[in-house]
Amino acid sequence: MHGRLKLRPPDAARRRQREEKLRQYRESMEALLGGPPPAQVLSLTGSVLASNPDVGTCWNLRRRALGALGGDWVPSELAFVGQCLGVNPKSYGAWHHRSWVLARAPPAGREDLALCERLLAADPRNFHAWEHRRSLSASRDAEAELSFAGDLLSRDFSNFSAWQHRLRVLGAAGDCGKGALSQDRLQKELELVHHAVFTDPTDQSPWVYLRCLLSRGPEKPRVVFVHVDREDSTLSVVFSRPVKVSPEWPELEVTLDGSALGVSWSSGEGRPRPSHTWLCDLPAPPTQSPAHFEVTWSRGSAPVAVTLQPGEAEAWWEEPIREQELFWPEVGGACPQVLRAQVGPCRELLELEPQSRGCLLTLSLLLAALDPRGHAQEIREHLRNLQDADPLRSGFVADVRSRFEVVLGILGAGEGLSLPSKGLTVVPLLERVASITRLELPGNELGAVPGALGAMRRLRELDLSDNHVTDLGSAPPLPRLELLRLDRNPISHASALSSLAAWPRLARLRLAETPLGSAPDGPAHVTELLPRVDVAFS
Amino acid sequence: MADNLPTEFDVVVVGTGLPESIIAAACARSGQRVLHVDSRNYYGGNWASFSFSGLLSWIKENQQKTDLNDESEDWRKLILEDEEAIPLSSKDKTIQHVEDFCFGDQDSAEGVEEAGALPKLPVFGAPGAQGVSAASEETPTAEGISLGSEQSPAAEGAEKENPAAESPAEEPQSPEAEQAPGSEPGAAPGDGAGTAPGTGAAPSAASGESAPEPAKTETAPSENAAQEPKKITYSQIVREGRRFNIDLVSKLLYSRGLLIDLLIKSNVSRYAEFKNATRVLAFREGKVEQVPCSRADVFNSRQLTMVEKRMLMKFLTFCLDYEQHPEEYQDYESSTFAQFLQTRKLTPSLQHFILHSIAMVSETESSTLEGLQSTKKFLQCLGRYGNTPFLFPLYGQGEIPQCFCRLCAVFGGIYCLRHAVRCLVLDRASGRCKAIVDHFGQRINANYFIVEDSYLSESTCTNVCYRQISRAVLITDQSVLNTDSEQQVSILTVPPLEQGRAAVCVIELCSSTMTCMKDTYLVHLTCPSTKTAREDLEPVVQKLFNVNTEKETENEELEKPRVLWAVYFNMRDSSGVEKSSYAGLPSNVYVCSGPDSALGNDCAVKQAETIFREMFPTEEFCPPPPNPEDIIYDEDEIEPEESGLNNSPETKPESSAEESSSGDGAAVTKEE
Repeated sequence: MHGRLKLRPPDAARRRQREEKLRQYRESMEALLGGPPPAQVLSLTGSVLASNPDVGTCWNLRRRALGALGGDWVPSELAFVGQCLGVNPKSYGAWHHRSWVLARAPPAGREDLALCERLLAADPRNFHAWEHRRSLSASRDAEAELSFAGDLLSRDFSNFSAWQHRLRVLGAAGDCGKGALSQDRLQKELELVHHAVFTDPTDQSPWVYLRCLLSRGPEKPRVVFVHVDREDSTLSVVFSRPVKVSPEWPELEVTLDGSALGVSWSSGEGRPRPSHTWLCDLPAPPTQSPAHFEVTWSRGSAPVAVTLQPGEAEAWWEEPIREQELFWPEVGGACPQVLRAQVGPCRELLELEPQSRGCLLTLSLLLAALDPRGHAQEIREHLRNLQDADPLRSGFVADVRSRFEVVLGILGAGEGLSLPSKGLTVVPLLERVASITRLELPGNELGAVPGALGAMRRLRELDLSDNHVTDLGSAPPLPRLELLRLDRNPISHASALSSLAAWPRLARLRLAETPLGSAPDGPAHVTELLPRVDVAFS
Repeated sequence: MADNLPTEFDVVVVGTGLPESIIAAACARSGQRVLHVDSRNYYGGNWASFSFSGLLSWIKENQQKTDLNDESEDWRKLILEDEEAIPLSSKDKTIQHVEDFCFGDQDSAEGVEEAGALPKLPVFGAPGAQGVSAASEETPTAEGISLGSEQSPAAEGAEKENPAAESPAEEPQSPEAEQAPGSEPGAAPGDGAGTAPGTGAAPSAASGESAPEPAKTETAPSENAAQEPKKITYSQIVREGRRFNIDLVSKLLYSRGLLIDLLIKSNVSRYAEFKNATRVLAFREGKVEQVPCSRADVFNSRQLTMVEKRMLMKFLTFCLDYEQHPEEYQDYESSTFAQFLQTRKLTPSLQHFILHSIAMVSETESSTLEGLQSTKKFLQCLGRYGNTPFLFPLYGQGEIPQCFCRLCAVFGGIYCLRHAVRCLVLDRASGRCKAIVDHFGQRINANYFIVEDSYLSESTCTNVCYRQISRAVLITDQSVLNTDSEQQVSILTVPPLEQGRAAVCVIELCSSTMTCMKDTYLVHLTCPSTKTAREDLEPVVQKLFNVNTEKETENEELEKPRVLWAVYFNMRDSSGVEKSSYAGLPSNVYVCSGPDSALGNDCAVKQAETIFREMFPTEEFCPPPPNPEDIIYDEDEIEPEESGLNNSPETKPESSAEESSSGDGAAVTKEE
């Protein structure tokens, strides 16, 4: 009708645009795959990438063409990538291309910093831009970087990337390479964190930053236990963290009375994977004179000496346990005053926000790092509250609780370690008690055998009754184990016990009240599997 | 022009204040023929903004208060026998007690003229360029917020890089664009009539005086001003008067308030630009302090201790969903919000911040629930466009009614300023109003009539009891709280200085809001009246500012900003008046109120929507206008592609039905 508005269907125009874009894309790609000369490759990829910077093929073709072209294409290429980042600021292809170009150019200047600043102003969590800035700022003034990250935090402190940037800058700026900060700087950072967590204790990013700030970063692995067994002619080395010892080029060396032994190493689990425990066969040690073994882990640390006296079946060396470093090794070494100074504000905040999970966890970790035995009651209470406050992460909290209980157990341990009915879901730190002969873990929540079990070269009795173990899996053979209790675990198949066949001294196996015992062929299968073992089903 | 106005309309709107303008836009948008008139020579009525000289003539006009009783009663002849006239008032009586003060050397300003004042000498170009130079200097388009694009953490870089891309750069527009200062209102009736804001006030089509050229012809005195920024004289204010856009009402837009929603929904937002209020201030123990209100503010605050931060955040988080936690407040429902706050472990300064600056409620009267509601509203508005809940329209609040007028004009509404209406014509038989008679004696027929309260005669309003608003406008030389940035838009609530008074809302605008000249601040004070505006507000002005002339200042006074010029006036608050209180109004005559004393604009929007829905219950209120690119003119054919896709006979009629129904709402006489 005259004088009336007629409207196009709203998406017609957009659909036409999209079809046009698709047509152009197809044409360009077809032309590209036909192998045109480099100059044309540039213009064709340019037209595709300008509208969709995520076509990896185009970037690759472009790099090849640029390599063939020669000439100073760096500035124009950088400008082009900048334009593509405007289309998609998180395009992996574009960012990768930018670093490729920069690697072929004189050190990046202001433009790249400005680009990062612009992109971060638009999206303060653009991790590509953060990463790029990090690579640029390696040589830059630390203070400038700190204030840059600080500005973004003052806009919104819920920004893991900005905290992380700060941490890296501080780590690099810190003296003596260990990331240790000057007291002054540390105080300032801690204050910043306090203001953030008091403003919003539910935000996890400042809590994570606080914990990182207090810790020294992960420790290097070191030898904590060396054991020589005359009867089996084996030497075992246990590390504080899983390491991989390559058989061809071992960084782990053993000398017997000063002369190097050319031994080959295998892990306690028998697989070439990082492991706490590494074993080697020894030539038969002398029976009349003391045998001096020395184990050297080439990545730092002094050699460990073990002397096997004549007439002794075994000899071992064990690193003494330092109470503070057991629970949270990264923090335990930090200045106790600094840690203690954090406890006050955390307790104050907890009084206001008894449900704050960041606060409950941080406070527990701090107290456990300071004096686990002295604060046992308080820590247990905080962890219990944390479990209630954070049902989504109850598994994690249970693991933290288990670790704490194990730490308490270890600190009171003698020849044996007994942790009955402690609600353990994992049993960490066994590598630190590798010399014990009895391990009692009845009535816990374990679903599998503990991970570092292979380190326990002297273990004679293991009690896992009343847990939730269904399958021993590929449990490492324990050379000295004689008694294994698995009563009241939901083990229903003999195959679940198959790894026990490799346990040389296993004499008694207790399987009372297991489904396997009541299964018709169960006992028979077990006997078939373990003919030399005394198996009891009641 | 005006004497051959069409005589048939669907809706006649008298008054160009905010509610009237919204109704006019909504009616035109839904296809009604709209005539929108105002007896004044500027848009907005009591919602208008003025340049400095414009404000001076407004002051003069309102101080004289001479009644023009020599009006001819010729129009009575046009009333037929079965009709009755409801006369309208010819004189605006809503402004009282206007008192202006100059704290500088006023004499030296004699003979100084406003730069860019309209043609006493018809020089084309140079003076006009100066009038606009504010725009080129301050680059408002770079700072202004265009609604619609909300601030979101995941905003894409490309969009953010050029915020001005979507909001067309507009030159400053001012209501007096078509008003010749010095010419007496009504002296040349008909001159300004018939101009539609679509052309007249629309910046794009403004006449030569707003040619968008940078000011190359800066005069010597203003260069001096740049060298000594702190010494602003009265004569400079006069000379730079066109840089002022002084609002008669002082309001801010809540960023999730009804007006913002309406501006976005109706797409009127494209006609305006906004600036975030940058800070919320409090006045406590004689000191002005910044109130941390957002999470980032609290984190960055240096004045709060860690525990205070927690207590404040905890309380604010609670307020955001207080309805979910009735156990927290139900014991205090009968007490005041101030008493409730005392039970919340908040330090006195936090209680003050929350009560006066965030909830902005009365200490002695507001209940707990009222306070919680206001706090929640404030908090919900945070973060949509920035760190405070408020937006301010660049070039002043007076822009907003004009933006709606423009939408109305785009959809065919006809505009006449300086067009007085003598009476409404009542049809005795039906009891309905059928026409108006204007000051030319022309009868204009319509179905619905919207009249702003101030146009109603005394006899119509005898039973109405009006409240008053006390207003003050100051031009000062410094901010009430100096920080590293000079360009701050601040809102400050000053609690009552004595019992029985109301809290005073202070809004301080900087020059980048395009409402005042460089190196000055425009300060608006507003409160519900208890006495005259000066009696109500002067004590607050004395607390915050240095009102002494030059030398006799004491040291402590030197710290305070100096007032260069001030005006006080009372404005009638006709909000909240029931229609039944007006005597003898037919059912098809609707009354719009003038500005209310609240900070936001919800009252006006609510009123406009209510009236529109009463008139046209089945029509949508201000739906988004069609995208110009989607409009197909008759000459254009619908693309073959479309018909190719829809060639099955079943779908065809359906799609054409859709088209015509969506076209219905957008009827437009092809005018451009």
